[in-house]
Amino acid sequence: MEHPVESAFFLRLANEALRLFLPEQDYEGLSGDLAEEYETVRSRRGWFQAALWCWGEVILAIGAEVRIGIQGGSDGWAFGWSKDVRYAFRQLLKSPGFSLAVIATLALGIGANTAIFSFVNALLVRPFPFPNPDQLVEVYGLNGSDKSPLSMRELTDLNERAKLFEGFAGYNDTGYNYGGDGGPAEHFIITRATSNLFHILGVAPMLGSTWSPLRDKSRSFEIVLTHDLWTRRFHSDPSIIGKQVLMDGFPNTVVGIAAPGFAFPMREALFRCWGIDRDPKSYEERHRRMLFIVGRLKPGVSIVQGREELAAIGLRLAQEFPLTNSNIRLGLAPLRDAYMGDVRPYLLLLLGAVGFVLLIACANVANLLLARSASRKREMAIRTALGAARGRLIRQSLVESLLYSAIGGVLGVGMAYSALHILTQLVTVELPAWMNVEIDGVVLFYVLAVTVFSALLAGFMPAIRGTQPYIQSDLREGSAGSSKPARLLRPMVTAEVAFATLLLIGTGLLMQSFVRLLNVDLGFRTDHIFTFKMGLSWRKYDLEGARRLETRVLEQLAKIPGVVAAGLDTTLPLTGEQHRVPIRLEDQTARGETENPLVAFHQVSTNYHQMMGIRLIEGRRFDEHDHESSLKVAIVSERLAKRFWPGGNPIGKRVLPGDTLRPWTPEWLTVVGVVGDVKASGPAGDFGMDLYAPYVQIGWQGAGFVVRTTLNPEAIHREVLQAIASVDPEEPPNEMLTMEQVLHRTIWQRRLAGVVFTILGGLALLLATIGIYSVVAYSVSQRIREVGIRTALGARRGDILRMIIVEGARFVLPGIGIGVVAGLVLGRAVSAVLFQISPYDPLTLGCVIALLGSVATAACVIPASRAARIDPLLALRTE
Amino acid sequence: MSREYLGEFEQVVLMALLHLGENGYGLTIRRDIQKRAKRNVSLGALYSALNRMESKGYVSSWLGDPTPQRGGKSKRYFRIEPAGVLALQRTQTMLALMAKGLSWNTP
Repeated sequence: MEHPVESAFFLRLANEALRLFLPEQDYEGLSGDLAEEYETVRSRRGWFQAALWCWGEVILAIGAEVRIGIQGGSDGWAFGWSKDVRYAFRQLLKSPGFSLAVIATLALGIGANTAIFSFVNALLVRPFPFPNPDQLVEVYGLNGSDKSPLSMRELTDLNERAKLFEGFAGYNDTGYNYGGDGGPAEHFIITRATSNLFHILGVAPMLGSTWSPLRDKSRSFEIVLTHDLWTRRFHSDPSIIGKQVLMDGFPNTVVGIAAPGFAFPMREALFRCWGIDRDPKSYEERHRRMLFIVGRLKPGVSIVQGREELAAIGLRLAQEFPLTNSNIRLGLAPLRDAYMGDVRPYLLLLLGAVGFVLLIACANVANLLLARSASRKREMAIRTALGAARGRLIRQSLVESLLYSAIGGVLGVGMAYSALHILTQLVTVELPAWMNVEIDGVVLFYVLAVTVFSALLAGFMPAIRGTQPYIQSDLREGSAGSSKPARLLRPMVTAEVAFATLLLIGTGLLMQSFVRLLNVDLGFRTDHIFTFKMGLSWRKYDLEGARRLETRVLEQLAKIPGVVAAGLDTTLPLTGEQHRVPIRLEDQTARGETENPLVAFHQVSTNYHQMMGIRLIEGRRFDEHDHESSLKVAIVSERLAKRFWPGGNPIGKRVLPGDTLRPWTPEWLTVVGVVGDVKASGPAGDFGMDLYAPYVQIGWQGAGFVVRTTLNPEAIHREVLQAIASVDPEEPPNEMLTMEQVLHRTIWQRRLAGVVFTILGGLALLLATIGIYSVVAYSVSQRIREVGIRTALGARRGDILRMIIVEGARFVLPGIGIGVVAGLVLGRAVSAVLFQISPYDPLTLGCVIALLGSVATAACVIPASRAARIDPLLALRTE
Repeated sequence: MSREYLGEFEQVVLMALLHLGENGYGLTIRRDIQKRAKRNVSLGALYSALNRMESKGYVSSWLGDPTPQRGGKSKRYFRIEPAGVLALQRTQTMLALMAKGLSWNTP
């Protein structure tokens, strides 16, 4: 009887599943029964019900078979495990080469997964080390889509008005120079925070206490040292509490020591009461937004509810204070997003990629085991004939693959441990102190799960197939070998090739993104430049003193051999620092002024634009005639010029930078030049609107220095230190990096993704190549006789070669095809992490296809040419 | 020869084979159990019980000719062997002995 099309399809699928799992005679009877009964069910209940019924039967049948397998047949579940393990060890030692290949493959797959999962665990899974971390939120102002900090007045408003929150704390980073204890002078990044920061985070100091709220408005400062700083610079001396230490030349009272490992928000050295630094007004004025806010929701309040309340408060503030708050909305995000929002897509992408690598590795191991199961058929047959139940043989096989996988897992963890060491170097700077990427209990549990999963995935089919009873035929020595394993190997290699194609497409796209990112025209040069920052004590240096010191440092730097020029900018590009200020134009109404966007204000040395290679578009650069007592001048970037003087000439126009730059009293600056735009926030960012003034005309207690050299910029590290120390040994530089290093820090996620993907792509290619090679080689070894006959009948070497390669192509090409289609389908998922390249980039696809094609051909040619050299007489005699 | 007793399902299957004589294969055995015992069994469970009993010598099997109705597959016929009959008798006797003198009122 002919089955209708859909019936035929379901039956065929069911047949294939049964064929895979059941012993031959069961398969024959059961699949026949199914076909026979299927018609009856279909005519009564329709094809859909019939298909459901059919698959139900298939699953039950396979389940019964598997159960027998696991229980070890009539011997029972608990019996003979130690014997199985001992036997597995003996097998492992018997063929060390084979075992090594299997274990190494699994170790690579498991190790890669462990390493990446350690990152995912640390960054996305492990709870932040604060009580009820899900209640912690980041609160910010929103001007359009620009996030901004909030002012002290706004923080007070939040704490008074919000009913759904436990409270809000404000903090910011600043720098402190510390020395005078006999050790080298050191620049600390410190957290300046309101007194309730510890309370909001839910942490208490390990020793002592925190400061009282009074200190937030005081000029005498109290500090809490991090445990790290306390042990490193204060010899873990508990009596330090209550004592005063000089920071920035000013006494600070130590009131507490934080718990080990705690710093906030990143890796700061100490916490200081907010206090009143230089300007009491900073407390009063609503538009001085310099506090980052962390808040805690009350128990049971959702993020959405919190967000709604903040939005309402923001609206009320805008009504009450239209001058300062009309454009500011209030936003909120879970604290984890504040840290990890931009890393998440990269990590998930990498996790997916290592998952594929593991699948490829498992397919390879399954291939190896299947191929070996063919050569062990005789052994299995003898054991069956001697009375071993099939279930015991299956269990035995699974124990073997579990053993391989367990050893692979242990090695994998070791590999991951070393890999993490390297990978964390790429990212540590950007992670908070308490976020340690390490192999902890969760990771180990994951490793265990992955290990068992790999063992089952790789070992299941070989175990089922390898133990199928063909006793009589298998006992006969020297049969040409069953073709069944070979038939099963091919779809697995096809899958492997598909996964590898997918990974290589990802690798290609990410690498190209990365290269394009590095080749973006930032508007300035990054080569041969050494940079560092100095933050001067504002008690020791007034503006004039700071200017003098900076000028002297520049002079000393210029004397270093190999240095072409030394300059400075108060906020160097790519460092994440920006001095965003409102500006006023001379001929602007007060109304127009409130609509002005903020601009990035830089005070620079007169040679800055030239040495950084920032193009001059109009007018002139700064020069030595721009000094303290000459006309106050400014240079604007092209974008700024176009925004404020569209179509007009900015030269000679006057601008007034906003008044957030105290203690400097703002003065009108005359525009003398227009320069090219720069991408200060990194290659993936936008061009900014920049306003430059000569630092000698204003001044600031601190700057970023740039030193251009003809040498490798890293080579002048020591000379730079000496040059600075010769001016003031108590004002140490910090963040001494080359401009290239600074650039790489802005794109660390992409760099990490690029590096890891390249490794994974290479691994996938290697494994797939081994897979292709081993299957073709195996198939050739099974066909020696056939090749011999063909040669004897007159086939030429070319014919044999072609035959083998065509056969390889039949399972490689579909794999590449499937991989490319999957790549096109999954393309959208990666587009978020790509830069200036389409996920469907034809060049990348073409290159991947060509690469895999040629590697696959090479993998086929070796065994094929071996086959072509077979001597027909010898081949026929192997019978 | 084994002195084992049979499980309940094994007894059901062996009795079905006795009923069916030379016409016992997967589907007919299943239908027979369905008809007499009003019990649904999956083919998988049936085959694994039959395999188990075949390895003990209670039943034997042979393949018939393939038919187009079965998608070109053969029927796998089963027949109860003397050892199977003995085991069935032994189990039934044991059950009968145990049941002797029992009253079926619920306590």
